[in-house]
Amino acid sequence: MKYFKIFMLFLSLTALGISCSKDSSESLSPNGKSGSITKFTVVGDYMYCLNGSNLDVYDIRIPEDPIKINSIKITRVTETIFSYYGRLYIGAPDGVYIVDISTPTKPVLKGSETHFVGCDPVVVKDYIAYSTIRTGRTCNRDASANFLLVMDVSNAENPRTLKSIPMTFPSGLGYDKNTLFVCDGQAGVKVFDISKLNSPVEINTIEGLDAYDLITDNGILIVSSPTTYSFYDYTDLKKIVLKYTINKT
Amino acid sequence: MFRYPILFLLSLVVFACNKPETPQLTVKGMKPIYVSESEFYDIKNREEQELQNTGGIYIWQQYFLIAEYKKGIHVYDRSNPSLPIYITFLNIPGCADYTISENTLFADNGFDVLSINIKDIKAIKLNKILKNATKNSRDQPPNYIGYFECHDPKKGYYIGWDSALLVNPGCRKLN
Repeated sequence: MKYFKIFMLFLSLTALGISCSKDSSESLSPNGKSGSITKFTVVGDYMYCLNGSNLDVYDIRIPEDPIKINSIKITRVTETIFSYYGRLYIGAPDGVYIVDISTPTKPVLKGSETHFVGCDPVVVKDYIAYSTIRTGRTCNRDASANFLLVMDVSNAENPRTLKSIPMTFPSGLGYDKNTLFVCDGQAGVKVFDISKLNSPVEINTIEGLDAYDLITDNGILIVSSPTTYSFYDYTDLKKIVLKYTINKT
Repeated sequence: MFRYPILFLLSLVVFACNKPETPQLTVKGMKPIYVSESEFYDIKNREEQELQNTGGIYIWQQYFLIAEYKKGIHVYDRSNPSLPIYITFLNIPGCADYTISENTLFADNGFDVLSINIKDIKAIKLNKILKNATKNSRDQPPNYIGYFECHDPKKGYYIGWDSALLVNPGCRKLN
């Protein structure tokens, strides 16, 4: 319990630190940024890869000569990975798994939220995780509904779902500062205000595309659909403007 | 005493020979497409390729990357979001997923993991092949339900799936 309080204090402090330093526009990390549907991620000197049921760790201190150094079992099948402040959040057909990487070479599976099943990408801000679940054949057959889940992950050993917001066919998601963007299939991209992290408020919808995954970068949102890649300017959240669409052949 | 183990071994042989014949099942399904080793590790830049069976998206520096399943990665310059420009195609024949650390691209290639120098995105260089690093992964046709011929590493390097008429396929995807 003592450690938990210290951890929460640390989180609040980092949150303060982030909100103070984010006044000026954020620059892209030298490692770049992925969409939310991915199996590979880099954290410092290590790369973490989902490999079937396992999470593999690679030492990439010498990037020309990566070495696989560890592998731990997570669950039957793993699908997406997201890293945030010393933890990995792994999306799987049977839920969300939290892995502690405070010792980067020795990941430890801490806990999971498996009450809801379906498809899965996860993003995390401070102590709140956002994850989508959807019905459909490529996901878990037991998934009976489409939701954006809001989870309290302050205790890695006991993540709890706080809210389930009904969606159409949600998949990839991402946030920039206090705005959460969620791909919702034929319903487009749902835009939420997350100033109150545990209570997303829908403020806008980008319509006219079958949204699958997205990346935000400093006012520009890139959204993938089965047939297109679209670039939007979201500097004005009330008036999101389509800048360009790459069409698949 | 010595005769008993011999009798036991003989009985095993008899049982093995008596195994009933499996009936033939001929069904429509998917089979792996195999290529040679030199084709499989032909990591290089290529001219613009068609966007077909695309996957993971990524931004790095001024670039926007799109995976092309079992082919490689499309690279656009996104400096002007009103007019992204196709720059190059990274030929990685067995690639499904990837990430970047500074000037190095890490990608899977079949069951391998590759380290590729992308400091100059128009002149990439293969650094290292980690053979069979991801062999735990399920190897199945994507977005598909039904029978398929299991991937057999002895037959070569596989780079995707083709529809085919299969006899007694060993693998089946249920969901």
